[in-house]
Amino acid sequence: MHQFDELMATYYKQIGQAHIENILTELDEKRDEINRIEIPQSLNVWVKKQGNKKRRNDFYRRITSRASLVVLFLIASLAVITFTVEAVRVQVYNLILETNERYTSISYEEVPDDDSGASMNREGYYPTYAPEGFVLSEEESYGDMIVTVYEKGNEQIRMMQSSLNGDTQLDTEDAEIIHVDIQGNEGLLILKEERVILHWANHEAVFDIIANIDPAEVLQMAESFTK
Amino acid sequence: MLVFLMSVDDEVLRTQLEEIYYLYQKELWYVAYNILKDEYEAEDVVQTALLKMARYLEKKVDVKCNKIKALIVIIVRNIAINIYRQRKTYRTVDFDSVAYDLSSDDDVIPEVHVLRLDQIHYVSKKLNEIKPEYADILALRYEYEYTNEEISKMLDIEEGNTRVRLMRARRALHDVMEGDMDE
Repeated sequence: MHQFDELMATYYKQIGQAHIENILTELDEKRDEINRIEIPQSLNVWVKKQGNKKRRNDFYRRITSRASLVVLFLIASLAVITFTVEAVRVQVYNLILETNERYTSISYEEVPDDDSGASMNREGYYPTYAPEGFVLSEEESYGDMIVTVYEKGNEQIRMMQSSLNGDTQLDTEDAEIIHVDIQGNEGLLILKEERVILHWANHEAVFDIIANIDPAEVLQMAESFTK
Repeated sequence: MLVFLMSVDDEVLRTQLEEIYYLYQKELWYVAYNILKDEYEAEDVVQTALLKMARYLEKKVDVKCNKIKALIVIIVRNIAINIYRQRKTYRTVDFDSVAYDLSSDDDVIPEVHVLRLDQIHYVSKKLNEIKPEYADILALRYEYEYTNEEISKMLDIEEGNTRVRLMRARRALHDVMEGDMDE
């Protein structure tokens, strides 16, 4: 490790130690208040159950192995029904914008379109184009969100795709907002200093790219998104 | 929840977790409830924190030591903050997810910090006041020596966010120091 990094790590460690002491001091200062707390009985019962769990483990293992098969079957059945119904109900999503001083809120409303036959499954999208020198450094799923990160030195492209449920709040404070078209869908290109956010959605997912690279490269990447 | 409990198979570990609970239950409940103001959610947080603790607890550790007590408090606090934020039904996309320079501490002058070691408790407290998560993550990374991946799992945040939060914490700390120096 570089000498400078070692020095800083030592400093941060001391800050961490001080933080631990501060936490304990704060709790001590609130001792009277804390002592008056009555813990819910349900929490105590939960912990006691842990103590007694060992005896029941074998029994539960037998039950859960059978139960898991049943649950798997149910999930598979529901998934088939859901995808079948949704494949028929193809929708086009309209961008609804509400801008305030610091953030722009975005939600999507469904517009039925019987002519389209696009699939509605939830596989992830990925770009077929990445700016030169960028390599995939992270790919994770969090709930219904897929996060993909490309890096080249200190430059970073962070892509997020998630379901159309819920609203998005975009950081638009002191930023330039440009309306763009991404694969026939309306999107927003938000520029602030040397960073860029590109937000758009298609009929099945919401996408955000946050990067500190040339906006033209971000747009080219977005245009190359495919399954 | 019962399904997750099955993962705590080790007898020693389970005993340690019980001990931690009985020693610190009121503190944990207090921290969670103060953030969420909801008994059921606070209960969930305490349970989740204990189960997470099971992954990181070493055998034969002294559960009465201050470091363990602070660790479980940090986990409870961060899980509670996550839940508090998730109550909002929207996701936030901000520029800070991508920094100008994720790895650099170039703007941090070590000599400044070394000279102020006498004020380390004050600086740490100030950082905690600005944003407790920053002080927490510095402690987890540098004092408890968890990896970014471990911290991510412990606090239920993605690894990229852990790195960004660490970077912000270091910069916030530097800002605190600079403000302090100006006084």
